[in-house]
Amino acid sequence: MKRKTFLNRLGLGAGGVVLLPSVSLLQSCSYEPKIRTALTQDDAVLLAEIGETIIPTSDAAPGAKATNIGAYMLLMYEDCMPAEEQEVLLSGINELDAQAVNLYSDSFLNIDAAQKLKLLETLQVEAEAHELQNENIADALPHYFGILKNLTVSGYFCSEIGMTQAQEYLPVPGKFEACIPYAKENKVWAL
Amino acid sequence: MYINGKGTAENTYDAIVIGSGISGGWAAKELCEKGLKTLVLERGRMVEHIKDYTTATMHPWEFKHRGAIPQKIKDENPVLSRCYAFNEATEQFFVKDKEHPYGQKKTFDWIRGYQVGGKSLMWARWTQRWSDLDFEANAKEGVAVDWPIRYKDIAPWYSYVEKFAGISGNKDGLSVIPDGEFLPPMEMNCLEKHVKEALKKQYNDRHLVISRTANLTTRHLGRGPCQYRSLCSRGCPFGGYFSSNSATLPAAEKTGNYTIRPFSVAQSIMYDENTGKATGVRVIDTNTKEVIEYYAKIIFVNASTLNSTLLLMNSKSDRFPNGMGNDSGELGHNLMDHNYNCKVEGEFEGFEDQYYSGRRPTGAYLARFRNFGNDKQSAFTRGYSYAGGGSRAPFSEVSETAVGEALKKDLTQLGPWKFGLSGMGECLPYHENQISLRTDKTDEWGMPLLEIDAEYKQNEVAMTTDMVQTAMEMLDKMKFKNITDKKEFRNFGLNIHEMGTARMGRDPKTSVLNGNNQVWGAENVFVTDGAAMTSSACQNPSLTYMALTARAADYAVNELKKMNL
Repeated sequence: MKRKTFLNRLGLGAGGVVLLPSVSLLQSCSYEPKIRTALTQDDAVLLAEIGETIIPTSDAAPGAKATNIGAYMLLMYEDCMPAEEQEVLLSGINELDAQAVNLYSDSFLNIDAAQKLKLLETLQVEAEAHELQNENIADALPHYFGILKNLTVSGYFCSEIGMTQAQEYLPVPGKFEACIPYAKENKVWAL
Repeated sequence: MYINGKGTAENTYDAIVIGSGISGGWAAKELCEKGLKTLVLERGRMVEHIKDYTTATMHPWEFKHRGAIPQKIKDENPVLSRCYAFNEATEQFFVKDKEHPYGQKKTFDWIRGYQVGGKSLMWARWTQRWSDLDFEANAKEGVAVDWPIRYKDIAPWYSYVEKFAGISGNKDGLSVIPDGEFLPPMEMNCLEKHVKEALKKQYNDRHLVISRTANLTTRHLGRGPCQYRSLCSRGCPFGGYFSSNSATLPAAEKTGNYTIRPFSVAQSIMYDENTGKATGVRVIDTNTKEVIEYYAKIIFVNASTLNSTLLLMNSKSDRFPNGMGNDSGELGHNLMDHNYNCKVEGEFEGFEDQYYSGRRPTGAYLARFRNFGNDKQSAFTRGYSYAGGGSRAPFSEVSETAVGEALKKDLTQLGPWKFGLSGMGECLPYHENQISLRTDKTDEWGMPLLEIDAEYKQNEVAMTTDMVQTAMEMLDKMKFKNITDKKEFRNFGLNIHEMGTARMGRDPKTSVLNGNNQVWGAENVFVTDGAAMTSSACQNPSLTYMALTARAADYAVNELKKMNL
């Protein structure tokens, strides 16, 4: 009886055991990686989630998501990126999307924070290898994760939250003090 | 061609100044204060002090692209996009490539600011004096022609302009950059002070000082003081630095003798064959394209180096078939820029518990030591200085590999101290480095386009090698780590110190201007901007333009009084 309730709750009904393999099949089918031909507003949520994983919320200050990092990345992609880098980022996002499904059988948005971080750490290693490989090639294109990381860092530390909460912002310092004491727990000046 | 038929009297002034940038502003102030009714012609729009600094108080996050220039604008402006000062907060002050095309036989980045105030709004404000090491060099080495002046001729005028402009600096007692009339200096940070002492210990000829800078450390003549925002090139709402807009033009206006006419391109200077004098300036209104003639007893040409020479070249007459003042054939020749192709950086271990507060809008200056005193280089003549600076930013090796919490933490803490050295080398005046008028193309207003043909040569290339090597050696000797050559390369012109093309000299057969900046053969025309330079030295040039202008204006008015002009 107990077993039946359990199966019903799962919505599997009788003979659930037989269905077990298709449960994982069902999961992998629940999210199809997209093949994008351009990054659009629809991707802002995904970009924001990537940004939040790169610069997460902590006790010290909100993370990248709170700064609308997805919209910022999209704007920079659309307005401020050379065409070759746009290509790199676009195919990179498609790849990241697929990789989340390969590794965790779900979209990047749905996997948990630890899985997200793990995935991006893998990409970080990939990006470092890419950079090392291209060290002596002039005008070599960056790895897409390098672009994502740069966009997150620049966007976050140019945002009001990044500048006024994660750092200390003095719009009008009024004076210059050439040497002041500094300790690790002090905030740094936003520039 | 329709020529404005207004009465000559209505269009007659005592003096006309062409250009309102750093030297034109000085000409306007001096001539107006000496009682001359002065017309200032400016080809661009009006920029009123404070009111027209539209981005001056915006926070970084208030800019649509947070300061970045969109790719489309970069693609449309390949030249301008290479300028360090061009960003979303300053773009309104820079000429777009397409608006004012020019020809390049060799790559030349021509950065321009066409508005009231010109480039004095966006300049870097470093103001080292020249010394006789610079004024005597051409004569001693037999390079180009001798300067017709020496340090003693210009020294009182350096003092004169420094007192008004407001130059912060320290009296360092160095003969290569003579001391001036300084407001209190800005302070060096702890690493810079350390480097200063370490250099003193290691060498007997390397002196690091705080750069003399046209930022006000105290309130000065109703302006400033500097608020240490370091956003100068947006225009300063506090009047914290010297510009035409904040200082000289308001002083000119106060006299009641000042008239400014924006949107006015000087087409040519008119010349009277009988009197042997210029009579006035033919102007094109950039909006209506109307041609208007203005008349005056004296004319100051301050249109910026290349445009001043373009104007002389376009001022042809029976007396001057090859351009005004061009008996020598030197008009358009001897174009110089500085050579900044050296950027070296190192990390310092120490002072981890030290930081600074406020954004100092200047840096340290390592004065010239090459081919000076006991130093003698065989590979090149002249020398260079370095712009230097110590700083700390929140980026360490951790940030390069970390993602997540660790990255965020690292980016909100300070990394190691870094010290950078950027070489600033003198360029020789070569006859072959030249500009000419294109015969096939004119701009929207019928002015011939310029063709620029200039390059660095052997002396500059050899100096670059030494600048980079010596910077690395010095940092190494001072125990810096991770010393890197940033492989800085800038096209000729990009240092925005274009000089020469109407040089001063002692002989009309070999120069365009005499020792008072008068055009040979048209002595009531004065050229006192970068075009007048006979050599380039390695100091930032604007202070010298200011001093030459004030000196020439004084001479001009005295000569007028004596009825000599």
